Amino acid sequence: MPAISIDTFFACSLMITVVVAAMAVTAKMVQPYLSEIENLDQKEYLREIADYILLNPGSPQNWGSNKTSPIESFGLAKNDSLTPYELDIDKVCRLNPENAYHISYLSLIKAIKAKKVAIRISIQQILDILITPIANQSDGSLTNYTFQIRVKRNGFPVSASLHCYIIAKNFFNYVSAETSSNGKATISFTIPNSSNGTALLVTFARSSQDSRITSYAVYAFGHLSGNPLPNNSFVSLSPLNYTLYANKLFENAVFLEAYALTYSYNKTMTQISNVTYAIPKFLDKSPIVLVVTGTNSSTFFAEWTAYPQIPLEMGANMQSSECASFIYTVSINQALYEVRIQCEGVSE
Amino acid sequence: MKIQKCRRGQIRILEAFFAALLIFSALFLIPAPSTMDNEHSDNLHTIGINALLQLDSDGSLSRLIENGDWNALRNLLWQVLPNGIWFNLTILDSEGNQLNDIIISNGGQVSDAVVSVKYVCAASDSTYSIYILHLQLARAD
Repeated sequence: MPAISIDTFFACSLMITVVVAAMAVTAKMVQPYLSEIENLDQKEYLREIADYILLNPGSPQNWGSNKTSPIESFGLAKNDSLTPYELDIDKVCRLNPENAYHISYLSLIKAIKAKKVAIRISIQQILDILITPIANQSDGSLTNYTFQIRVKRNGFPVSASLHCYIIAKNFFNYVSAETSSNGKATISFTIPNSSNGTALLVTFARSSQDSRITSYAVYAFGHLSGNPLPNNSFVSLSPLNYTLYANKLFENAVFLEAYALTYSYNKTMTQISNVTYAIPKFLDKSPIVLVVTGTNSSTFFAEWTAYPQIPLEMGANMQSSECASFIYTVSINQALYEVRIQCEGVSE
Repeated sequence: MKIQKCRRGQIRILEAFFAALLIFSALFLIPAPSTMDNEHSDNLHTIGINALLQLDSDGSLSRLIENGDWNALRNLLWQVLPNGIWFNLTILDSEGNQLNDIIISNGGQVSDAVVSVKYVCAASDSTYSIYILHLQLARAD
């Protein structure tokens, strides 16, 4: 073989090696940039969807309070609001699966008008309230109860003012307290022994720093009786458009009293019909807890819901998937809540 | 003569090979972008702006600044921001003088990836004073 052929062969081999290596290196280096651009586009796309949900009222603009008209476009913002991230109380209620007029996930996705996107919306209160019974003692015709109340935010104690309402058969009372710097307070109250049956302790906690950070918790216990049945065992409560729809789950159930409670105010609700009550419009930066008492045969019950119906969680199951998660602080009727919107999908 | 020319050719090919190798090896020095950092930065910026907007919407923010109630402001931010986020707030007046005489923060910095949010707030009273807020945020690594 002539020397020039060996040179040519050697040179071609080197060239091919260099070109192949160069292509491999270039592909390896460029790939992360290309995938990154795609990821950023997708993330931005999902963020825009989350922002749109919280900043737009949707269509029709009163779809929350109007339970008959179908939703054309989905958005949770309050109609004509001047404040960003202010949500409509009825639109939020219609997300809660416990509400009789809740919208299905299918109609939500259809109204978002974004293809190949899965969404999960959860709304929580800012403060966590933990209620623990400490002691109870019967004395003649009265029973004295003592409860410990702890207020926390992300596991850390919060100093707050407490307003607690006690509701039992033919009995209504309230007490106030302040938590110490470790977020704990102890309250005591008495209930007549004649009011035996299910009793409710409704507690509101208001942050010392901002009155808009107000949360609630409800603790049900048996007063001189066994443990009460879970909530919504006798009646299904659905607040919407400042009306409480109380759907009896037993024919024999009879309603006695209905209360609307906030941090500062309480009122007995006016019955509009057999199954509806008018919810008063309180000027209070607080969620409203609605309590309905009644009897089923001889059993006394006290059941409750909140207006807005928070905490709530609805949408696709995102537990086993990598999704984008966006957290917002929003206001509903001047009280603050935390919204988490989880999205998964691809832009088109 | 022929043999000498051929050898010169081989040397040039080798030179070209090493030159190409040098150029492409330089590509390895370019760092690949980090997806997670960008995601966290975008999220933190949105969270910071959202929190300040909410606090300012009813005048609470400017009221606390006017009163110089820095501890209350720190507690309020801590309650409004989601779990696991470090913050450090600096408040300046319209001339750039720092107003807070204590550190408004929830602890030591938890990450080097710090996002800074600038927010302008106006007092709700008749003075209409302007405050410039620099909120630094970081998520625990």
